[in-house]
Amino acid sequence: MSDQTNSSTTWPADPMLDPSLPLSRMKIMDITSAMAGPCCSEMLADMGADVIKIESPSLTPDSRGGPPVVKGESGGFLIVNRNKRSLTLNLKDPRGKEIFLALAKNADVLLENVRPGTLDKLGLGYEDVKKVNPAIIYASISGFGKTSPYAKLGGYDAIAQGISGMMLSIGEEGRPPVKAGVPLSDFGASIFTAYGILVAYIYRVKTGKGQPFSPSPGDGGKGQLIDTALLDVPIALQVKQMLYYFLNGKLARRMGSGDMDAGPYRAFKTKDGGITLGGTNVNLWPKMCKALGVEELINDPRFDTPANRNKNGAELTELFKPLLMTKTTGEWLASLRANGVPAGPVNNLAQAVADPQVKARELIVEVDHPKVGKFPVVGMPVKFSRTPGKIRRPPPMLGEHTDEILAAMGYDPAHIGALRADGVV
Amino acid sequence: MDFALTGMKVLDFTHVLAGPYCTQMLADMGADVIKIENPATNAEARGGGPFVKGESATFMMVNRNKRSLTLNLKDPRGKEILLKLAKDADVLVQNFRPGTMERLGLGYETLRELNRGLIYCSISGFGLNGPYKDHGGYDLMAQGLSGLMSVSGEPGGVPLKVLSICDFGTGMLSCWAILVAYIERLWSGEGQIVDASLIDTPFFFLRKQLLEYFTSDKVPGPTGWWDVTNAPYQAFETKGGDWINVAGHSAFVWPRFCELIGISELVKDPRFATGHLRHSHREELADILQAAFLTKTSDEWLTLLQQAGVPCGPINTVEQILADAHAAAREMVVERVHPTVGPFKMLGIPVKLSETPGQIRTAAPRLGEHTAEILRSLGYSEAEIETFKKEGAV
Repeated sequence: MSDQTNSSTTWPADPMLDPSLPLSRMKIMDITSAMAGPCCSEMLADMGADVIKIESPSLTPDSRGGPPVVKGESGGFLIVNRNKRSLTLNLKDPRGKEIFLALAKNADVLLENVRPGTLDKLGLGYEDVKKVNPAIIYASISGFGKTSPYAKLGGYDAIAQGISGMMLSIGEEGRPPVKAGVPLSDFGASIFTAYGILVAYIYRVKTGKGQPFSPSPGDGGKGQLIDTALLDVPIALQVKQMLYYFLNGKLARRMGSGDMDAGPYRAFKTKDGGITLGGTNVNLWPKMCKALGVEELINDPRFDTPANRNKNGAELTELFKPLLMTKTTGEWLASLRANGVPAGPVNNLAQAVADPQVKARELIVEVDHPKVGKFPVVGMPVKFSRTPGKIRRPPPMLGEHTDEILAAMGYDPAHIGALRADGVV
Repeated sequence: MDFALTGMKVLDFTHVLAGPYCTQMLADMGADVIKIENPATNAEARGGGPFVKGESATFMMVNRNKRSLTLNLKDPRGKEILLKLAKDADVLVQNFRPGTMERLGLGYETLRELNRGLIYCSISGFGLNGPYKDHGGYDLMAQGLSGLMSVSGEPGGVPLKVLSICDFGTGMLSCWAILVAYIERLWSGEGQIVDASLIDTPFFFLRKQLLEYFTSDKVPGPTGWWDVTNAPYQAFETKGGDWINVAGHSAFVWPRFCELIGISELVKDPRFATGHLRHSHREELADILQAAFLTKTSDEWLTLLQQAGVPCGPINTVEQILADAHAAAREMVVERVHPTVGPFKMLGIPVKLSETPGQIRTAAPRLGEHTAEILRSLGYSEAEIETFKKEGAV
């Protein structure tokens, strides 16, 4: 019952695009919520991609992401959605669907993490979008992936951590399962998917019309489907645990703050806090013993080689525990660093954020949100010498750019008003 | 089969985990990765234990699909070979301490004069700037310094190390950054320095805790099997002492979850009326739910919860997930034959691309396995190669 077919076929480009940024030619439709999907598109947006976030008009500002609510906005949304614009679209309405497909026709990438099967049911799955745009890179993030026996089940980060074996790989022997405090499956899926998208984009440029370097790389080229499962992330990242199991069919011990094959590579309590020690290899062991004032251990037959230190790791740990308690973290660090031994404090988050290195690396930066005000977010996770990423926009308010985007697609104000009145946008 | 990164030439000077994982991600998608190694190195220095038939198994987990060229960079002939390769390379990845490559005469500025398109990726403990830039750092130091250890583990327990997540996360993020720089280079023709560090990576993962800290000024602590912002979203003990994970926190799932566990009056309980309230009363809520979960076994609960569409899952060991149909269907374990070790299992490609899925072509190379082959392709004669070998230049 679409009342008018919109003839515009151009992408409604972000007027605030920065053409000097590396991905400024990349056009992305973002149909994601929670953490894994939004963080993935944010990684591309930070590097200049033009990301349009498509959200349901029935959402409210505090229901777009997880808690806490900050001045009426969902905090969970604010931490993974900067540099994007927001368009509200009711995808169950044929007019909403039409706008969606008009965008898809000109997009390079479509990223989604809605419940498995939902977009297919709406006629907006990969096969449908491919019909209007064979070059589309359609990336899908789900709990279990499209080819898993569990493909239809919903999944979250914690569930992936549990199923993957990870909750029983980390933690301490004899204790209940523990989760990594951070949502590793979510954010790991963000990075792996961004990697998949960039790889697919390079392939698409290579197979496109304007060989070798098209001025408009979006023209033609081969698209594809990218399928990421949250569950695959903690499986892939348990490299050492899996290795031990592959080699001898035994489960690796849970090591608390330590590691399986490198002693003493772990955290110790000090007089006033905690410290991590990394002086385990052949070159560093004598230096570490010197820094800790236990030169007699250097050639002690129980600990003189990495293999012996590993074999007698428990004994060495018991020797180190009371020793490290005799001085403060700061005193030990001064001595260890003077001897060139890798070591560091065990910080809480307040201490970490205040650390001079963390400041120097600009790991916490501010966005200025029209409603929330100045709000701290995580900075660029890798530094580029010539094309550093940039925060051009704060996370968008719900539907903030609907009018602007529709107008750029050729809709007149009366038409947009009618769509809004009908709950289509 | 088509490979997305066919034609990308990568020089890999990395060791330990972060750097090798980065270049392996490129190699899996078709890049030609040449690992430059010291001819005097050994299995211990190459990747550490455990060892299989004299090879470092850790090395083998993160260096598949690469070729190994041994070069003595202090020998002028070794350096000359390296410069020939660098002239033609797209990407160089190194994880020496800052300054080491410069001392070898292989710093960015020097190589840029040879090859202005070179993407030069440096992976270090603390990055190329800041007060700690000259310190050595490992995964463990980054986990401790960033606060990551302080938010993992049980309240009151020891601070927990989470896998080698700063290593692998840095490998992943530097791979992302290299691809971004490579795409930009398609238009500009210019390379650049990509500077990744183990200390930057944990902050990428800590954003939920940072949100909590910045909005409440409370310093987040370890949450055991809880979640920072959602409840009930956690592990419960079931009949028989087993544990399962359940996610009943969303507004959509919460009513049917209450129904399913047989405490439908919880839906009306004002303490648990919204997601925010459920989280602020998470301990009271967990006590009520824990009692209910002890009445059935894990299998019974998982069946019921799945039927009702409540996200849930077992808490497996590594052995159990490897035996699960999911791992096979997703090809998460692959086996390749290593010339010395024989059949060797490793982990599959963690993202599935329909047209250019990538491929695990070969197991990790033996030390210097491809030295002669690579030197020949650079035009060196058999006699020269023999001399270089004999005299320790390669």
